[in-house]
Amino acid sequence: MNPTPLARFRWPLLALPHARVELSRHCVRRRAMHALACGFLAMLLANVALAMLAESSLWIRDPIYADRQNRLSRIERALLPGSPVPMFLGTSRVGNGFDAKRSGERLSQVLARPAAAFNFGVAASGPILHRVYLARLLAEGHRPPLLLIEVLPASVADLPNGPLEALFVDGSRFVHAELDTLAAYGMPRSQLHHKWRETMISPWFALRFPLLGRLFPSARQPHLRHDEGRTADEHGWHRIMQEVLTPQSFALARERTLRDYTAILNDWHPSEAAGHALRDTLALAQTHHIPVALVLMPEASWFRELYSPAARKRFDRWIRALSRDCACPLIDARTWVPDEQFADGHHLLPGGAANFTDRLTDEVLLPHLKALPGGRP
Amino acid sequence: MSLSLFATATPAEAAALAAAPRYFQWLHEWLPAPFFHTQAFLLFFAVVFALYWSIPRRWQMARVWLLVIASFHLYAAWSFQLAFLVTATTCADYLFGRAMATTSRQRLRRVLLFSSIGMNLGVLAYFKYRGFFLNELYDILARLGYNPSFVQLDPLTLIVPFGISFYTFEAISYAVDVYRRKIPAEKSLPRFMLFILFFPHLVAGPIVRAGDFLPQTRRPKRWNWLRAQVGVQLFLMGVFKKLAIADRMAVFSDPVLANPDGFGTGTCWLAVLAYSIRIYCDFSGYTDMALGLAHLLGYRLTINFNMPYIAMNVSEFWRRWHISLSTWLRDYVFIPLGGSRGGRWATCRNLMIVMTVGGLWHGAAWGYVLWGVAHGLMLVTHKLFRDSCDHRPRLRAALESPAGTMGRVGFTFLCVSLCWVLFQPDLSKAMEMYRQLFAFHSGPAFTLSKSGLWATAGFVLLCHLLVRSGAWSRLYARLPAPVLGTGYAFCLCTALLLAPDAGTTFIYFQF
Repeated sequence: MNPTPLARFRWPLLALPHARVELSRHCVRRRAMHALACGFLAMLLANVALAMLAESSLWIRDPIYADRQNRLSRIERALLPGSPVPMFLGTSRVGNGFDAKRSGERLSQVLARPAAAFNFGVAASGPILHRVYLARLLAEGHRPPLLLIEVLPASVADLPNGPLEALFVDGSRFVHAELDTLAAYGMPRSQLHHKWRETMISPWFALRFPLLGRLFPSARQPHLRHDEGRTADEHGWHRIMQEVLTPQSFALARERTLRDYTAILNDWHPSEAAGHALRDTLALAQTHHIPVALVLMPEASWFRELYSPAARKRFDRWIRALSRDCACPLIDARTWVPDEQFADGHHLLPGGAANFTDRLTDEVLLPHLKALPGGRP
Repeated sequence: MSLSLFATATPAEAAALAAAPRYFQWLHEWLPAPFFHTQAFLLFFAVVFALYWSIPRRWQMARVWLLVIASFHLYAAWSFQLAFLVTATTCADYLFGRAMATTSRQRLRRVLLFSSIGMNLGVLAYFKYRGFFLNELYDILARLGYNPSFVQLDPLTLIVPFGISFYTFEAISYAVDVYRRKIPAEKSLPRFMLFILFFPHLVAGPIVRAGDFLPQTRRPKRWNWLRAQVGVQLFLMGVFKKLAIADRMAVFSDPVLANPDGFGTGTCWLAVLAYSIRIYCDFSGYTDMALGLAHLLGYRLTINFNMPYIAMNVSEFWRRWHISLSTWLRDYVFIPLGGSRGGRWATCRNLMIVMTVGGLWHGAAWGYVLWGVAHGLMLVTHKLFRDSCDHRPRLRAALESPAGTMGRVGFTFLCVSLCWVLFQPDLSKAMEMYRQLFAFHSGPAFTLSKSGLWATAGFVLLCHLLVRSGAWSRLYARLPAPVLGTGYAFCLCTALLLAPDAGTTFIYFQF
């Protein structure tokens, strides 16, 4: 075969006239030097710019938080000034279990005035992250009329390798001023600072997942997109897609739950650092005159059996003491939902979320909001 | 930045490391493996680069020693025992070469040549093929009802030195060239050691020839901005190909190749496309990085790829793909076997032998052997078809028309891509994949959007067209320096942005 036809083929759109000026050797070398210098400067500039942007805006650094906070602001702006927007700060259990839109509609209906609720449930969070989130929310000017804070027993357990949250959270999600706060609650200081430094030295690499999650979400696997805040509904509820579970998927979910939680819950002991973070969160809210309540989210009966009797006793004693010391009511919702309405023993299916939301709204949110000045219609 | 090491140490490697002296253990912690796109390697290179260019130009031998020591350390950081082994065989090859040069007795020269080849192939066979052949022998004996007196070898207990296939071929080509008096035997041991151990090409090629490389070691190097620019450009291009293209394609191809049964036919075809792009960008990306690093140190290595996927037939594909290997096989296997001088059938036989050897060179597994055989068959078929076209002018004209040319490019790409399915150690997975490709049934698709795959494939095609049409070189000549520099920064930022969560190793490192 003649190998030349492709070479002879002219691509009209790509055809450019040949360079007419023959550059001297000296010019070519100078151009090379300038190109390398410009490349170095451009790289430096791009890194500095992104690092500064990341340090000044959580939109890049912590999209999971920033997206939820934006939604909360939108909801608050859409309501009349002074309209109540109670908020539920928690983990993925809250994320899946509290249908804040449904709750808000019920609140508006009963109170006969505009009201909403917001679900600030973030997966793999815990008291330390909640402490940071609350500080950020207060700095942004949010003042919910009631703040519900979930206490996830596993996240306040004393574990040999530090808080449970440390497994999922790294320093790249925080601005520098927050690192010491996190370290004070037992998060590994050097690891936090190392990750944060990476985002300063090479932000295009260290922040690639949140950045790409924003620019081209489809280019990344779902767990690397950092888009939980965007995939939830406008009120922050993360609805589980299945309505009911097949026996196979339930068996798989149960197996995963048992693997993840049996050891932690069977020998539960309170973590001093996590308890400290929780107390500080409550104190912070109270300093800003925000009423707070602690919530124990629903658990399936077989999940509740993962606690040994001694561990259950210890946890109950600990949470009651905390509630008493901090003057916060404790809402024990562990038995509110029947077993078949859980996806894996502790995350609620949509039916379970509706049940839980209705009861929480009727028994906790409405009485509290009605008691506020101007609360009753 | 922690573009960290991605390869996991096998138990054998971990045991060898545990037995290493403290210095090498420390070295290993600092520089776990010689991957060019890792933070540790870049730091290592920055130190070597600074030291290298701070040595005065007239002290060329000091620069050579520096590179030899640096190369040894890079290898020893992964495995100090194997670094000594490579150094020892290199010294032995040097001595064989010197001995060949000092004697004129043809018989003795021949003995020395075969000793050198035997030693190199022996080491290669021991480390790379021992497990494969012994296990196959075990299976055959067991199937025949005999009770083998040896046990099967667990692949995880074997350590295969990085790049053994590459430097073995370099050493053999040197011995043969010296024997043929094509090149003089190198008198300087450090220069010869640099030829084999030079770190940019040590672990995954390109396979350099002594005739090209050794003269470069004698020339004092002067810093040259143009050369530095070429080096940086090549390195960045390699990083981009690896991180932004190859590793992204791996996200599509790897799950399907690992479990073809779990996907539908359409997805399997797309996975084949992704794997073809991946394997090309992975290896050519590595080669670009190697070439770029060598340029930054003032050395020029052989070009290994020339847009292989626009080849119009499989013969042309092999003139564009892994050029240093295909020319090596041509010069040291195909031509000594008689090449195409012995008539049609002898040529076909020689092609089959060469490609089977080429397949086996890639890996000690039946998948690689069959891949080589498949390419041999395609080369033979192409040769026979080309000969038959000589008597069919109309068919020839049709094939040479623009549409025919496009068709040939597409068909060659399809054949080559289908052969890549065999290019993996697990032959049963490859067979499963073929069943899925041609069984036409529905099944789950990728977890990621396919648009990313199409966009990447389109980008690769566009780059090929730009370069092939000459538009790129014309555009490049006109770009002002600031635009060019900004382009470098953009290229690096994009590569970093698209880097995977836990990167994959280079495919060709295992060879």
